[in-house]
Amino acid sequence: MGGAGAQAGGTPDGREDDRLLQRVAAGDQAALARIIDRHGRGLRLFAARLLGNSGDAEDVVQDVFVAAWKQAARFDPAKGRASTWLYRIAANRCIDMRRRRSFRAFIGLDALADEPADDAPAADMRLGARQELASVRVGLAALPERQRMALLLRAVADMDVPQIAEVMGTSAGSAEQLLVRGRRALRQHMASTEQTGDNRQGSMS
Amino acid sequence: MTDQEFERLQRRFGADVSAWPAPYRQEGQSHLARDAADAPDSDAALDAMILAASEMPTDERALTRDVLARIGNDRRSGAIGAGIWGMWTMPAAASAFAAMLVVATIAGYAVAESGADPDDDALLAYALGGGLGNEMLDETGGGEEQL
Repeated sequence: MGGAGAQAGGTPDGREDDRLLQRVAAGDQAALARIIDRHGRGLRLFAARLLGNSGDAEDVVQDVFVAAWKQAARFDPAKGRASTWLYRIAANRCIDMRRRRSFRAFIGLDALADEPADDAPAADMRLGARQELASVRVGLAALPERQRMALLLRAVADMDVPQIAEVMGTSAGSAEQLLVRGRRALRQHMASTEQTGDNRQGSMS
Repeated sequence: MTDQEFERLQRRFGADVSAWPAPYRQEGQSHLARDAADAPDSDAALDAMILAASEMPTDERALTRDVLARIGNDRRSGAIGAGIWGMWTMPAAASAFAAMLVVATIAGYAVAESGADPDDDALLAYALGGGLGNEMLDETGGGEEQL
């Protein structure tokens, strides 16, 4: 797996992002396109799985890059990595989006139920092919938001604990706790799903 | 990730998988780990499953296009706003506009003053069907006698 330390501070990966953001701050749209190429997919997967809604995720990711375009001059490489900065913007936008959706549901403008981020989970369940992944998706959706965010930052964005803590605006200890609890809850969910499946198979045979 | 996808990403981001941006790096390293038949520790295995469960098709080109379009729209609306605000901040334009307002106000008062000002009785008579012009003529003493 991608060791978290593998991408700390001054790696070529991080330095390229810093250089690209400097060019973005100078108004270089090609540099922005390159940043989107490098981080668009990760941000999209992160936001879609965090929000449980691919349409909202699309809006959030666009907002992130528009914000990056407008505020690139404020980014200070000495304070953190460019990818951490982008994910922090995304995390904040996701929280805002979640609150907005909750408020709209509260006043009756929206249904609160999440749209699936894609059709795969239902298809997986129906076909029985990739049930384990479907179980992970359902388990992730059932986790508290901050645990889900920590797990996604680790798994999708390949961040280490200090970076996760930076994105989430918390201490490294708290981020570690969120990861531990999130993993434990996810494993419990997967184990219970597996047991249910075994029982069902047993009763059919 | 298939071998073809891995090779395509290698051409795109270079041979060093650790320098790829996330989540391509995760996918590439998982691919290499699978190839090497490494047994990942349990947390890493769970992370790999979370990544796999988060997979969905994405289109970075469409995203780039949408983002650049939004930036272009913001810039245009910003330019219009800046133009209007800029007019107010230019002394010549602001003073010319203020002078125009003063002249228009004075002209409005002058036109209103020059017209005859019908009193309440005349307006009441007009409302009841009488002619406003006749009432006003009566007031000035030059009108014909009303029935």
